[in-house]
Amino acid sequence: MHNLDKLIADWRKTMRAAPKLNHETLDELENHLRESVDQLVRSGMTEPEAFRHAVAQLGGAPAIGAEFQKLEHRTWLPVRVVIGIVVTAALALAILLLRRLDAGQSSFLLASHVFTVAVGYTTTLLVGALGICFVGQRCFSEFSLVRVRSLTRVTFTLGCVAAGLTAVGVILGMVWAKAEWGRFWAWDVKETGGFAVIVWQASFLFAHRLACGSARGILVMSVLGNIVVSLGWFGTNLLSGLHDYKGLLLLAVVVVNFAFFLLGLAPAGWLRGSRVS
Amino acid sequence: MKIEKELVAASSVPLVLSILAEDDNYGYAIIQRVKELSGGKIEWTDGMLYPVLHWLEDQRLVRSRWTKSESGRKRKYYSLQPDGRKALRQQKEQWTIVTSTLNQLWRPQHA
Repeated sequence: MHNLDKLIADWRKTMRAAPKLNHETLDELENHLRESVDQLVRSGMTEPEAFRHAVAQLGGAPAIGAEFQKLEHRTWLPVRVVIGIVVTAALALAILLLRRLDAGQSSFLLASHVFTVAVGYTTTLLVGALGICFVGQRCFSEFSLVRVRSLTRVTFTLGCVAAGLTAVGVILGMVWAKAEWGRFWAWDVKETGGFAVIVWQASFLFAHRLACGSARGILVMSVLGNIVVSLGWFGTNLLSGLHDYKGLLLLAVVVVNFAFFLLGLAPAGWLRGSRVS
Repeated sequence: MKIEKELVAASSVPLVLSILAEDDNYGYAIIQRVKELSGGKIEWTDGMLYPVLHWLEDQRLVRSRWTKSESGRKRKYYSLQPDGRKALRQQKEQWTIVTSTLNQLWRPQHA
């Protein structure tokens, strides 16, 4: 290996110690180092001298890493709230179902079905809530790329959790229905609602893959999940025992969510001009 | 006389945006341009420029792309975006206010 290449390979190893310096950033810094060495060699230095000088001028891994660390954002407040709600709701529901199991009011299969479906649906609703927060804040200021990327990762993870739980819940429900009613599936209103939610969750995850991490559309789209889950979960209950005020409430949920979806299509910062630091 | 590091840090964003307003450019050349224009008085620790460039990109003020130079070396070029031009206009206004205020205070009769 050429002497300079060896020196640079060793330098890259030391730079990798800084956690915030990824491969692409190291390529960029290496390119800078090579330009600097070339310039110093042209001005009369030997290659090792030029390398030492260029490295000193570039700065050490801890200092550069610390500067890159400052670019990291703290987790967005709505994300922390949503994750807190998912965990709390899951725990509360688990305790409630365990009590009912203890009291002999429910079978393990039915309790597991209720738990997984309810947490799956709730998680989808909370991803939609994140979408609403995103749309609301974006009316006033554009989100940074780092934050949008991190939100994309969070919504994908929550989307996977929701889809996985709902799918397991529906399968458990089918097994329970077979045992209780002698059939797996009959396209009743609840089953149709569950099917619609699963189709939505699969479409959401598929859209994530298509969007390849550029997530504004995904986050705006997640608001529509609120409509699908509200209709699939609560709409089916209404069909079996219709009350006017509940119907109106559901209609309001649909209208408000659709309005947020449309707001998400507007340019960032339209209510206050784009943010410029 | 070298410029103090706090002032160098504060001026890094308007300097980078102004250089990119001239033309697309890459890190090493941006530093050389600052040295040339300041007669070597503004001196960055070279590695500190890159977090600034990445922050500007994160804020969508600049955009980057990798290209190959004539020598075959890969370079990451940065170009100013419309929001970056807007930010530069604001920076110009703010720095003009600061320099004009100081100039008034430092006129010979006030010295």
